[in-house]
This record gives sequence, C-alpha cells and structure tokens, in this order.
Amino acid sequence: MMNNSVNITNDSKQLASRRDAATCSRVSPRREWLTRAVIAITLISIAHAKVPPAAAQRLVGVGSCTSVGCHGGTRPESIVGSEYSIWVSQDPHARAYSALFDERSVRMVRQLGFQPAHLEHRCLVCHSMKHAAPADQNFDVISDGVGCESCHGPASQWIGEHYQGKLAPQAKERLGMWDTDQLLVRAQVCVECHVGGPDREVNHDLIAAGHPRLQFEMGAYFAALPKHWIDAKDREGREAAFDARLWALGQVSTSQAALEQLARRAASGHIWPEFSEWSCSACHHDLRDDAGVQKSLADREGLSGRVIEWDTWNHFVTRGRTGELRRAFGLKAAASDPIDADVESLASRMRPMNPDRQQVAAIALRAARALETLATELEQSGNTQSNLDTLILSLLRAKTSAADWSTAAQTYNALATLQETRLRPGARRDDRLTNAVQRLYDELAAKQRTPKSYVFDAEQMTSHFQQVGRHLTTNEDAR
Amino acid sequence: MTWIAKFTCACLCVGFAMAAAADSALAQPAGGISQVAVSSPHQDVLAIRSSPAMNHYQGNRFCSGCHSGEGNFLPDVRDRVCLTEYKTWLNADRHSHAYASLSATRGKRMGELLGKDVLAPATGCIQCHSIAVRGAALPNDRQERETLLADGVSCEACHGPSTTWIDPHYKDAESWRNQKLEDKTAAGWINVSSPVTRAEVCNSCHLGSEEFGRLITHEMYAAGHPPLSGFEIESFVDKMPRHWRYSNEQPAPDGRPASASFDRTRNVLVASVVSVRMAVELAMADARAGANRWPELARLDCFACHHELVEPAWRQARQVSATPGRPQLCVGCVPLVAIAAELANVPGAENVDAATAKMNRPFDTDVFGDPAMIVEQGAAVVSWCEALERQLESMNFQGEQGGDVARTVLRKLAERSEARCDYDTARQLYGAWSVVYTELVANHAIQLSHTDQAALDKELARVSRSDPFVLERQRIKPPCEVPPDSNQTPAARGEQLEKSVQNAFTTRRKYDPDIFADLMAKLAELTD
Repeated sequence: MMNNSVNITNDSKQLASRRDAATCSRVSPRREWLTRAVIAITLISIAHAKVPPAAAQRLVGVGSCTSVGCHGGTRPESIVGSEYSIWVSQDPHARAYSALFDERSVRMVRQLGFQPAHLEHRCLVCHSMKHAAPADQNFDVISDGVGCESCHGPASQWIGEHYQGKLAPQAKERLGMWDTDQLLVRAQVCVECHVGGPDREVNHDLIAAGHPRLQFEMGAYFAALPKHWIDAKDREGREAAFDARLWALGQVSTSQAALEQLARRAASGHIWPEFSEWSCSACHHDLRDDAGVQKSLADREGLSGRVIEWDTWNHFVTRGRTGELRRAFGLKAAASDPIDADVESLASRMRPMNPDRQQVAAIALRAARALETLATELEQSGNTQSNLDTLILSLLRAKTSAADWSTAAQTYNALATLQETRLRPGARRDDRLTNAVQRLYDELAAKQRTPKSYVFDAEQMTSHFQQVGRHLTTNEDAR
Repeated sequence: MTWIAKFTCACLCVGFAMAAAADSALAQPAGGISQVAVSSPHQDVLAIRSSPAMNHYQGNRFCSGCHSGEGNFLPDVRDRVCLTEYKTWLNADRHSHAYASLSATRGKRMGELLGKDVLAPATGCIQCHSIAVRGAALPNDRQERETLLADGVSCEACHGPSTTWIDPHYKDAESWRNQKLEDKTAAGWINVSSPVTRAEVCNSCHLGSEEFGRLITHEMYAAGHPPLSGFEIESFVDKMPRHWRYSNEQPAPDGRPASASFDRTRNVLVASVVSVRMAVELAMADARAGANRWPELARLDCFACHHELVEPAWRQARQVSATPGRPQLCVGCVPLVAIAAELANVPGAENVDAATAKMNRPFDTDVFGDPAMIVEQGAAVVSWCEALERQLESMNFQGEQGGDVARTVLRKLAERSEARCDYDTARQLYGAWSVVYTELVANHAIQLSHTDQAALDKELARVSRSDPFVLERQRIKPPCEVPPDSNQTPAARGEQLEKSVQNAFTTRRKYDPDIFADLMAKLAELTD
C-alpha cells in the first residue's frame, strides 16, 4: 500500500497527458481542463487510511516467515506459530499465483491478447504480492501468490523487529506494517483486490474472457477465510457486534473502493462506459416475457430500452440507507444523508448509455471521501442491538430487496450477519429466525443459482424476505 | 445501386406538399385522397414514393376478384399464376394478421409500455404491419383508411401500390407481360421475381430498412416486440406459405414437363448477401444519424448481451474475433454468404469471415461501436455485397449445371455448420439446407439409396418435431393449393401467434450448437 503513492502519481501523469487529448466535449475546454485537474488532484490525494508513508519497502517473501520456530509450525490445530502452515494448506490465497497457469487463465489471456498470465502485470497485481509492492521485481516472491505481505505489508523494514515483541500501532505505521488489528484496515486491504484499486481492476473485458465477477461482501468472505489467528482472541474486548461492525465496514469500504474506481474510469482514458459498472442482469437477462423483466422495468422506471441499471452489488447500503447505518451504530444522522444523495444521483447519472464522465467522476470522488470519513467513525462507534435490528428490517422490507439476485444476496448477507451476532455467546438464540434464514440461503444458493442462470424468481425471494421480516417484527414486539 | 436506392435518390427531394397534390383522376371510389403523415420513428429521413402518376394503395378488393380461384381463365394463364393467391394469403398467411396483431394482447401492452397508439399512422407500427409505407396515399376518410390498413401486409405491400398498373396488368395481360421491366417498375410495380428485389422487400420488414422507413428499435424490443433476427428467405417463404410456383413447377409452353431449375437455391444465396448488406446499411444509417440514434442496440446481436452466464457452456469454447465482452453488430448469416462468395468466385471469397469480423473493430475502441468506423467499415462491406449480388444473379442455376451448384451448396452448408455458430445462424443454415435439399429432390437431381433415404426421412421428421431451428414444417403447403379457411376467431388467432412468439424465446434458450453440428454432419453423411 505504501508504494501506492508511486502508482497514484503515475495515474496523475496519465491524466495530465490525456487531458489534452480529450475532444468532443460539450464543456468548454477551459472548464473541462479545470474539472479534470481537480479530479486528477483529488485522485492523487486518495490516501488510504492503512497506508503509512514510509520509505521504499520491499517484499521479503513468504519464505522469510516460514521458519518452524516462527510461523511455519507443524501443528495447524494450535494456530499460533502455524500461521504459514494454515495459509499454505487451507487458504485459497496461497493458490492465487498457480491459478494463473490453469485452463481458464490460459483461455483468458488468449482471448484478451495478453502475455501469459504469470508474466502479465494486470494479473499479477492481485494474484501475487505485487499488490503490496507493485515496483518489486523479485519473481521468487511473486510466485508465492497472495502471501503474508499482501495483507501485512511489505516486510523489509519490520521483519527484523516484529518478533522482538508486539509492535505498537505507531511503530507499525513507521515501519510499514499494516495494522490488521483494526477492522477497517482489514476491510481496506481486502477491497484493494476484491473490489479494485489503482491499477487493479476486473473490468468487463476480463469478465467476458472468463474472470469471475467480483462480488465482495466482508462478512461472508471473513467467515469463509481459514483463520490463521485465534478467532475468540480476535473478538476479545470488542463487543458482541463484531460481525455487524465488520459487515458495515465492508459495505462502506466496498462502496468507497468502487466509487474511487468509477472516478478513475470516468476521469482517465479508460474505455467508457465500462460495462462492469452496470448491473449484470440489466443486460444478461432472459428474453422471455414471463421472466418478469419487462414488469420490473416498467414498475421501476418506465421502460425505454435505452437505459441500463447501475451496479446493484457494491452500493447496497450506501444507496439510500447510509443514514440508517449511521443510526444503527449510534452516529449522528441528518434527515437526508449527503452520501445517500450522491450515490442515488450517480445511480441516475449512470443509467444513460453514455454517462457524463466529468460529472460522474466528481460526484463519485465526493461520495468516496465522505465514505472514508464514515468508515473511520464506524470503526470507533458504539452500537446497540436494537438499532441494528431496525436497519436490517429496513433492508429486508425495501421495495428493491429482491429486485435482482445481487440485491437479494446482499440482503441475505446482512441477515446472516445479524444471525451471527445473535449466535455469539451471550446473544439470545432464535431458532425460528435461524431456520428462516437457512431457507433463504437454500433458495438463493441452491435453487436460484443466479446470477449465472436466468432463473431468479423475485416473487419467491420477496415472500421469503417477508417471512423473515415477520419473525424479526415479532421479536421486536416481544422485547 | 439497387432499385430502391435509385428510386429513393429520385424521390428524396419530393416533399409532402408535392405528394399531397394527388392526381384527382386517380381518386379512389371512396372519394378524396390526401397524404397522411405516415412517419417512421425517424421522420426526417422519410422518403416519399412518388410514382409518375401519384400511385396509391387501393386494397385487396381489386385483387381478390381474379386471385381467389373462382374466375374462369384460360389454361395458359393458370399455368403461369395460381390465381388462388388471395385465398392462400387470407386463410393461411400470417401477413394477413399483421395489422390485427397490433390490437392483440402483446400489441396492446407494447402500446401501453411505450405510451403510444400503435394503430396511429404517425407511430410507425403500420410501416411493417400494414401496407401504408413511405407516405403513399391513404384515403382521407378514417373508416375507409382503417379498412384499407386492416388487411395487414396484403398484396400491394410486396407487389407495389397498384392504381397505376392494375388495369394494364389484367386488361391486356399479354402486353403487360412483354413490357420492359423498367417500364413496369417505373409504374410502381415491384418485380419480386428478381432475387435481389424480393430479398430487399422481405428484409425491409424482417430486418429493417432506412429507405423503406421501417426501423425496429431496442425500445420496441424492450416493450415486447418479438425478435426479428435470423431471416432465411426461402424457408420463410415455405412457412408463409407461398402462393406462387417456381419455374421448375410450371409446365413448359409445349406441355412437356418443366426442366430442372434451381431458383430457390439461387434465392437462398442472393438473399443471404442482401441481408448482410441491408443489415450493414441499416447500422450505417443509424450511426450516421448521430447521438439520437446511435447506439441503436437493436442493430446488435441480441445474444452478445442477453445470454445466461452459465459455465461451462459452449460460449466459452468459441474463439472470439474481437475484444471479449463487447457487443457485436448483427450482420446476418455469414457462413451462407461465404458459400455464395466461394461459388461466385468473387475476390475476397476465401476471407469472408475476416472481412465481416472487421465490422466488430468499431467495438474495440468504443464499447457501443464507434459510429464513424461503422460507416467506414460498412461502406466496404456494402460495395463488396453489391458486387457479389450481381455476380450471383448472372450465374446459371438451370439444368445440370444448376444441379451441380445446388449439390455443392448442400455439401458446403454441412461443412460450414461444423464451427460453433449462434442460434440465428444455425436456423438460417438449416433452413437453407432443407430448401436446397427439397429442390434437389424436386428436380430429381439427388439419388439416395433406399436405406439412406429412409434414414434421412426419419431424421428430418425427428428434427421437425423437436429441434429449435426448424420452422414449423407443417406450415409448408403445395403451391396453389387453397388452404381451408381456419375459421379462427381473432382471439384464437391472437393466442396462436402469442404462443409462437413465446416459443421463439424458449427455443433460443434451449439451443446447443454441438447438437446442431451433429445433426448437420449426419445429414451430410446421408446425402453424400
């Protein structure tokens, strides 16, 4: 992350050179120059909370951590001391590099006209530790995949010190060790690849060539990650809403990263519009009339056949529910939240087939900055269970909760987080809710294997949501 | 230049005002004629048909007198024309439902979703759903006008507005027949015997045409219009069903049986080229028109976007010729054009796929297709197609030589089907195959062993029952036979149409290119 500053500067140089090449704009050249300059400067200033400003740091490679006496222990069940062993044997991140040699990768680079994936910078930035130190040319290190330093920071400055006692946050910052104790730092590290960052993106060309679509949800991904730390200890001293907070930080960081990416795409010479900014099912839907496509279009916006629905995954909470999110975590919230307004305005600006680059970039950046602040506030906030219930109930009851597979899946994830929170020791068990959520999962994951197939059944989903909603309401009344 | 292009050039400058000065001598029985503002969705490009004497439509009633199979005619007339055309059209041809379908469930709902009156001439639906095209004169009287439109796509929609030529064509049929083609077409009569002209007439609706003012838009699709793509002329003609005989079905003047002739094989080849040309011309017209009309998603391959995302599926195994994930123009049945080019031996024949792939280049630089590049690349494709059309028209499709050509086409169709192709291409390839095969059989130009014949018949019967690329073979009728009046109520008719529309969506979903390739390989083996 440290070295991202280099990248961002390069970005701005590109911006400056493309500024002159820009033509065909209805904005006056002078005005356009100004707008672009402002956007460019703001893009440069996208500093990441987790990125400490340190001197040149280099990767040391997974091999430097694997000593049996350090992290390469042979007893994964005891976790501490066997972090590497857990990672290498259970964590899919360890296979990120070797995935570049599989059949899908070979097919992808052939179709895209890339060089072989294991040599291609655009692939390595996420499939190796190049993400942590992009300028590092050490190929031994690169072949480790997404290793220790991908999430803990390039270690050349701190490897010698970190085993001599736990480093204080200030020391970590000075030496470039990312403070993954902070939930927000975790979210921000993940989204760099799982949503996108400077120089790192999964665009529609890649998806069409075979790359899986990115659908990051912090709660679900965190639950699925084989932990190389003691989970109970990790939760110690944090209140019962650990999962809820992680979910919320994930939602906010995801939206922030996606908005920054949108701003970069809109402001730079990136191909525009970028199809992956739009909802998959806006185009990839069945043409059968009984599939409900026309009905849902007609219900929502009126039907013109010349508008495309914006992404329905990345801004699930921040499009209209930011105020409620603030309230759920005990933060002050205005009657109408400026983030909600900006994201909603982007949603309508992104609907025509040729969205206005300058306007989109400017609003996206403004909203991203506001989200960055919100994330910090969320990390430090308190919250009460009942506020969270209210938020989730509102997500569940939203008219758009089952508009497509993405929103339905996000709604489910939010519910699952609530359930997680409730299942922690000390939380009240609620078997009926557990069962209702389980039925939802079965419906989403097993029966409606969308977004891949066409068979998403919005009505069915809505009725499931209503059922869960009724359980929650009953519980609230009972309290 | 095609006849349409020539015609349009001559007429573009003639405005509504001039057209409104209708020749009173040609006034309809109903009374006054006036120009009704029949507009396409893009009225600015509307061309006005202004035949020398202000020709207009007058409706079927003038045709049905002779063409209902009820009059007394000399045998030599009956040899040339069925004289039952009107009945075939009325009882079996869905073109006669075209206008009624606008008021059926789907048409109504489209009107509601689009917020437009689908029956109003200004909306533009009747451009394809009736005869009122390109501002040709319609009766002033509303009821009279609606009666005329209600016939749907009737005689004059394809044969031309008839006030100028109806009299000569039957009062002195002999001399009308011997008149020069230029004179007849100048009178507004459309020479549908010409393979290029008929392909243009059919495609003007079944694909769309700026010159005819017939433009389907994505907005219309999104509101529920059935898909238009995948038009193979002769298999569609079978399905109509046709109301004419081909030359090998007409007895020779001296009474001997007709000699072998492969008109239909020729039509298949020519029309495939015309389709590609017209598809490209249409995209060019939209691209030229600027931001109001481009990107027009209706010009793109539907399934470039509207596909499921299942893996593994046949889509991933294709080698794409462009940047992955970009839309592509829908240019028609490229393999069929490649076969036509190989037979005609035109320059570039060996590389048709690469040439048409160039039409995807504009999507590399602009995700919705760089309009300037579409116009530039398109111009080359259009002139190449025109040269190929001329070459094909001059080729001999008669007698033994015609048989050789048809057999070659049959073989090449199977070869070309090996590559994984999309549903619309497959449907056209299969349609072409079945037409060419049927024509070879009709001309006694293909001999199969008894076992092969039995196996082939069985296979074709199986395919016609189950496979999605088959066009309702039960609709094929012997020419000139009057189909029984179906006695369907309009509601039942609407339901039947709706069912076939729904089938069109389902069959596209079920399509599997590997099954198609296997089928074509089997057909090739049995007919080899």
